[in-house]
Amino acid sequence: MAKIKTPTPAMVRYAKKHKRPKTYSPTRDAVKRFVRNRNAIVGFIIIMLLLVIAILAGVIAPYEYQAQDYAAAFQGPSGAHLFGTDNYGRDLFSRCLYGARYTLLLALGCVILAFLTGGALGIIAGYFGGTVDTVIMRCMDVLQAIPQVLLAICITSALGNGVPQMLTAIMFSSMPIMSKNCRAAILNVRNADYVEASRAIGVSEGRMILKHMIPNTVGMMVIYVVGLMGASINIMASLSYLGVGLVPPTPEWGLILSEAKGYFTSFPHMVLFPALMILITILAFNMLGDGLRDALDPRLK
Amino acid sequence: MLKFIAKRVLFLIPIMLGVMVIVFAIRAITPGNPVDSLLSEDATEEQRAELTAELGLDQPLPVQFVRYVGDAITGDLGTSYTTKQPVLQELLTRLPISLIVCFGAVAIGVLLGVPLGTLSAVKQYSWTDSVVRILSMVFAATPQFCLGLVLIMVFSVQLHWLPSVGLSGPASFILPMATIGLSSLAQYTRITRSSMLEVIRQDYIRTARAKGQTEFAITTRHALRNAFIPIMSQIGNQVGHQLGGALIVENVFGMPGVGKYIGDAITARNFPAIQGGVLMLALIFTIVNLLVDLSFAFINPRLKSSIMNSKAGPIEKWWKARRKKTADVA
Repeated sequence: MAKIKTPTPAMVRYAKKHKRPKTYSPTRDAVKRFVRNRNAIVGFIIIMLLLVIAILAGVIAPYEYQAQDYAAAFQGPSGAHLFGTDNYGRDLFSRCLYGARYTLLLALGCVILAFLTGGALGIIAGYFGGTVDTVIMRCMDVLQAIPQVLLAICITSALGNGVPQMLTAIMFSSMPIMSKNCRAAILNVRNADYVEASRAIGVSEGRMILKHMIPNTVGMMVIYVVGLMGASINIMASLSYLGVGLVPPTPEWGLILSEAKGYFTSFPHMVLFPALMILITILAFNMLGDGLRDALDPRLK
Repeated sequence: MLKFIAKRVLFLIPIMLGVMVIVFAIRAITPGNPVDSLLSEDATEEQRAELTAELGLDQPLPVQFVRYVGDAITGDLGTSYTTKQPVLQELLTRLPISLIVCFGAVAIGVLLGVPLGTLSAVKQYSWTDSVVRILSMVFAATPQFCLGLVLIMVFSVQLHWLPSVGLSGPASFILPMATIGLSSLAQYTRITRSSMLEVIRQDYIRTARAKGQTEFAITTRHALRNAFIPIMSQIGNQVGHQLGGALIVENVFGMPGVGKYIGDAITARNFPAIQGGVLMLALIFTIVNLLVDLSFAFINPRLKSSIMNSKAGPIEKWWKARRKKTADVA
């Protein structure tokens, strides 16, 4: 039996000098690229701040979002009302803070629904190919033949106003783009060696998609989902502005803006602040999305 | 080539049928009876039944759909509930306004976006580059209606340079066009920048520089031309977005175009008008995309030759035979 030697000082010195080479994983690489990207970090921080605002809106907001005070209507920004007040004397700062909660939650809902429907269809189309692919993608072509905003507006106008209706509308209008992207992502890995190998050992199709292909395309899918967040906020705000979808006094930013549009020439602050909130949020999501794209998919640069 | 074109044109038919299914479904799932909207409250039961039969609403849905498609193909998009005028006629009077806004916006986007994108590629990582990128990111993140309101605030309310709402002469078109154009600016600058960055590193650019060409000539004559194909496809994609944008912007600026028409129709729950408007916009969108695809085939020599060398289909064979015959006669 070989004797286990205690390391001599020379061995320790050698080991200290020649450290084991660092291991590289794609995830670590991606994180490194992401952290180095200034825009992406700024976007990420803004979104985190917005999330904190959304969660703590009830604590931070100085007033209730629907508390009316006619004596204080149409005030400009001041110490008591940071963003001023609207035509009902509601504090716009509080409304914008609560707006973060509603807007982010609703946008997240839209994106999740779009991913579960459009994304799933795209994945199925990409994986099975053939007739399934043709049928699904032709249906998506039809949906895509109607401009996105228009489709969303039509569906909401047919279903009526309300949160589930609006979510459905935005889901349908985002489905084509989501399915096309997810299909492309799946096609990328469809002929990879590990897929062939798992097929050879008889992995079932469901397991193949869920356990082998989706984890390998998760980077791409994260990019699409984050990109869709900004777009959903934009469409939601546009729908609210046109008066379809949500109903007052929901403090969704687009709706706050829509309620203010009659007064904006005399009281620009009523439009300015919700517009800035929308702008900053979409900008942050776009920046984060671009950063993620650079980090997760260096080939696309 | 002809086969390619014919195939693409024939492909329009199933797409438009699909759009009609959607448009029809929107009407079908909507609660409420159109007869109630058309007749006054004190209409008798007979009048209601008569109108229901006239509109074909007593028929099963598939029959209604076939009738709807038949009517739409012959140009009958129904009668507007509010004005009692044929929808097609109303749409056609409004269409030019929307098209002017839409294509004006594309022009503004391209005329600003391509030079800015080129500039930021040529001066990569300079402050010019940063300014262009930040500017286009901000414009891209602003919803079109917000941008429209800001432009109204600055150019009509503060400066009194341009009219704010309504259509009163050519000047009224400027702000809506600028709104849509600026919001799509990012798409053009981004694609131009990345396409140009790829091109300006190529050997023939160095050759041109070695020949003593001026930088301006190299950028415009050598690089930009070769970078233009992705930009073209972007223009095609954008037209669709801009049709959707026209819907919002026309409502912000009160422009009496197709978008405003649909917006008003939605408020009034005027379904023939909504259906007709959507159908028309979808048709234009699809045709524009088709034209972009086809123009692609002509612009891109590689794609053109691959189409030309593909096996000739029956139509093309017939066409070639016919051409040969006429040539022989001559």
